[in-house]
Amino acid sequence: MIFAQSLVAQDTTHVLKNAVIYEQKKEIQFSESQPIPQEIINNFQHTSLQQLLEMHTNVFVKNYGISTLSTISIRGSSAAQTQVNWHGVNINHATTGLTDFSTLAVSLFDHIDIQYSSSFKNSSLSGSVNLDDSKPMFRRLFKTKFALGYESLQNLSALASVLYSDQVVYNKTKITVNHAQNLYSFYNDDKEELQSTTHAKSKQIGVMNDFAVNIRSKHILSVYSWLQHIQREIPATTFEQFSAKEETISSFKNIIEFQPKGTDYFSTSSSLATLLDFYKYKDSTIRIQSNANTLTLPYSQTVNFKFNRNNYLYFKLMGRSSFLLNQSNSNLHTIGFHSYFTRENILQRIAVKLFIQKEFSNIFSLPFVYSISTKVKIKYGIEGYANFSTNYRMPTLNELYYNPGGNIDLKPETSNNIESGFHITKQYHQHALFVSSAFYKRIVDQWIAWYGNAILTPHNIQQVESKGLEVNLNYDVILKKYQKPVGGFDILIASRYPAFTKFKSSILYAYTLSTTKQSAISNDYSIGKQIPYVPRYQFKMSMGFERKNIEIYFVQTYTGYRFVTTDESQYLKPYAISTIWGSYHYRYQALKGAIHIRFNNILNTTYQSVVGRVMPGRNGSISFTFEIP
Amino acid sequence: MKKFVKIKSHTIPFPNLEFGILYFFAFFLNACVKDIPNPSDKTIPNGSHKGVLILNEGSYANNNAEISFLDYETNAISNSIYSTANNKSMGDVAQDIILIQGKYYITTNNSNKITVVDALQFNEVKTISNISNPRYFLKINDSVLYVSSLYSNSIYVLNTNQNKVTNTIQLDFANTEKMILLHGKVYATNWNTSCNYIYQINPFTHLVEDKIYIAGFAAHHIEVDHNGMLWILSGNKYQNVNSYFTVINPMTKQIIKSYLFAKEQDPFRLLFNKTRDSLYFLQVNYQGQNVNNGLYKMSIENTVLPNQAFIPAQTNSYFWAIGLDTINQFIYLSDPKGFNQSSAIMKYNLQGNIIQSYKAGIGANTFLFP
Repeated sequence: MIFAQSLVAQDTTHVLKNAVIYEQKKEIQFSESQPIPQEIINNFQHTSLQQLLEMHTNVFVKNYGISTLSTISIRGSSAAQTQVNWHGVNINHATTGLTDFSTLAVSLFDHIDIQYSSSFKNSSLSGSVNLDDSKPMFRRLFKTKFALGYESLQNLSALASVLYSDQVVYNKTKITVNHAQNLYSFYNDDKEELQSTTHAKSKQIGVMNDFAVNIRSKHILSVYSWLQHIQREIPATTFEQFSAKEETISSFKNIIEFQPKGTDYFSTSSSLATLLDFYKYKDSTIRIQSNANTLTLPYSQTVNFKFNRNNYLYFKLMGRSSFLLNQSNSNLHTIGFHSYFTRENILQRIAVKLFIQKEFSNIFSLPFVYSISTKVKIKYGIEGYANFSTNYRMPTLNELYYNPGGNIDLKPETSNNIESGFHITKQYHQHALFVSSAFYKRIVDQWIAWYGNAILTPHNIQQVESKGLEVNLNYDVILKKYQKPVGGFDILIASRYPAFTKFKSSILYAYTLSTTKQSAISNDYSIGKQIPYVPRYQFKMSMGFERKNIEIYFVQTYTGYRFVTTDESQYLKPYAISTIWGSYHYRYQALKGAIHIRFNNILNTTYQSVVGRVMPGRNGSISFTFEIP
Repeated sequence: MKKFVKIKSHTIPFPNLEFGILYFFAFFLNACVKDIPNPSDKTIPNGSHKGVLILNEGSYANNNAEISFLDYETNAISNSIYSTANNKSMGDVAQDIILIQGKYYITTNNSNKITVVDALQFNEVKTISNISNPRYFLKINDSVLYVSSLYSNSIYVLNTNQNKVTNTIQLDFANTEKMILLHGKVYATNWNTSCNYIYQINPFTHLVEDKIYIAGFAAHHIEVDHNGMLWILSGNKYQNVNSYFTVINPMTKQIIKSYLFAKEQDPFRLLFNKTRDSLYFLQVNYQGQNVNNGLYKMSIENTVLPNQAFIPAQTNSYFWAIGLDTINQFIYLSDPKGFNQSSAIMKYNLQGNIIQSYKAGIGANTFLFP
């Protein structure tokens, strides 16, 4: 009673400081997408993007070996049918049409997400990987971050990042340096002996700078710059005696973006990019050297109309010019537009999007493409979606002009795509469940295939059908007996329970049938057969615990058979890889940071991602990060 | 004592809906294609049967060179013979095969080795590794093989009793190619756009004795007709060097006649018939067009090159190998189908009519007849 009297006498009003909440309205997704969680990006800071994608996404990573090219396939596509966007600009190499994921350091990007089909954001046939940094926030801020990492393959990496911003200027600079020996032992079945990798060193430096200026607190001018230089030795395959192959890859990318202040109903932005890529390959044993230098200039102008909170019209005028610098008259220019209209909240639960695109090129006749998408909130946290779209991929500079063998008569690949899926989000006490699933079917006509041995030439040879199923399941639970708080909202707020252990799990499953349906070659044995290096089955499971400042996870992946030939006459065996990773986050006064430890391939599985390239067995890494706010 | 307000939970058909979804997944997954590759044809041919041995070069950097065998008695083809016998891959880009004293010698130029296998069971007997990018063989005698080399200016002298390289002959330029032994001399080609001659080599001393000039540059094939005249095919379309046939009298070392191919023509694989009065060669059009694409035939007495194919290749295809079964009177051609799937082997009569086709390994490039 005394205690109660004291309580009545106290003033229990607390005044909080002002808090500013920054958020942007997210575009409704009408197809399957997967943002990579921040804790995974943090744990992979000292690796390339290829390792992160291999373990935590439904894409298939075709790794040509340590210290060599790494490409991806989404839903049974070829590497050139997948787009990589940086700040919305397609950065695929103009000659090959693909991006080497082994050269993309995860530490350079704040946000990574995967789009599993073509969408208004990307013009690729199969999907895209979108790389972004955090949007500038014009408030006083100064942060530095340093990181050091070491892998047991005798690889070292370092990262430094400095962020300065105030009400007018924002500037963030990141520098990564990587020096790799890529040293490991493996058993060579072809030579029947134990070997160690040789001639596999690589050096990489990347510098990324994001600069933005807030003009009169209204308009934003941003300049994104990215310089990269890689020198690497390419080791011998298991069936070669030795290798003297080397590559040097340099690139300088710049995007200038201007966003004038819009209104509640209208906004616009302009963007111009320059993408310079220099590639040099040499093999001193056979005295071969080749160069491919390109300049690409993408530009765009967008206009966004918002009629009311439910109706949006978006229009984009865009163009792209690509030049092969060491070969005259080898260029590709396109100009065009695309537009989409979105209507949300039809009957309070349906959203519809209509999209159309038309481009003109100096070489090809390009069709109109369009898509129709719909999303429905069904009930009880269940949403369904469906979309139909058409698309195309233009041949690359290599496919058109490569000497010898390029084919100026190539036609663009065209596709028809249909996709349907659902998302379920459920929360029940301390349990949270998220399930998403997508069914898709895509038919690509005029599929470009490179044929030949001594002289390779590309042809519009095939019609390919890709269809399948993707599942993404996340289940989290807080390991504490649930007590309903007074006030009685049956909603779990995880931040109420920081001291308690959380169990988190995710399952990714992909079933992909990507087969040749028609061919321009008579009696083609590939009809009905799986496209090479597209596994029918992929499975990735991750489960772990988080408590206070410690997290520990176990990841298991399975990759099914991959055929090496188009008629399935030869294949690579499936493999399963187990990984354990953990992090410890610390704070000491102003300094905070983390220690990340990872043990890869803990069961020491021997496997080849590509013929002749045995991947590392059991190996580990440790990294330290320090942040000074 | 604290009291908790009891709140009625949502009434949701949670279990029924989620079990329904699970049943759907289970049904769908059960209907998927099983993750098991189709069983492949893996047999060792009957050693007592005669037939055509086919060398499949494989596709570059895929380590899938192989041996096939077309059995005359069963009229069936056995594939993947090497890997069946040895439980491992043969190597990358097999170029030539030769039978010496009951053993097959096989060059795999991207694996930088020569593999020696038993001719009956195809078990590997020896691997010879210190040869750079080996290409073609020339049998000097039962104990000596010459081996030419891609990217190198060497011809290796291989002792087949010891299976060791005992000597090296240095030519002037890289890419030593086909060779021929005639009247106790070796005539060697050098597929290099800087080279407009062939070499005469003494097979006893392994020394270059002379250089015999040809009409063009970059000789790569060489044969002899029934008059004892050398026929040399030269050129490199992709380095803008026109192809030529040059006919040379090896005794006088003089050019008797020559035939100039058009710039867009790309001939290779020169072969003579049994009586050596007619020759066959392939022209390849990598774009798969119908023009300049197929098997061509001409008499040694022709004064001009044939302008039409004897057996044209189909659209989007080209031929990669030719073999002449002079005993049974058949022509064999291979269609590599892009080098990323099995080759088609077509058997024709001497009139150019197709008799039958078979499926071999990747990139069939050589036919070896008994």
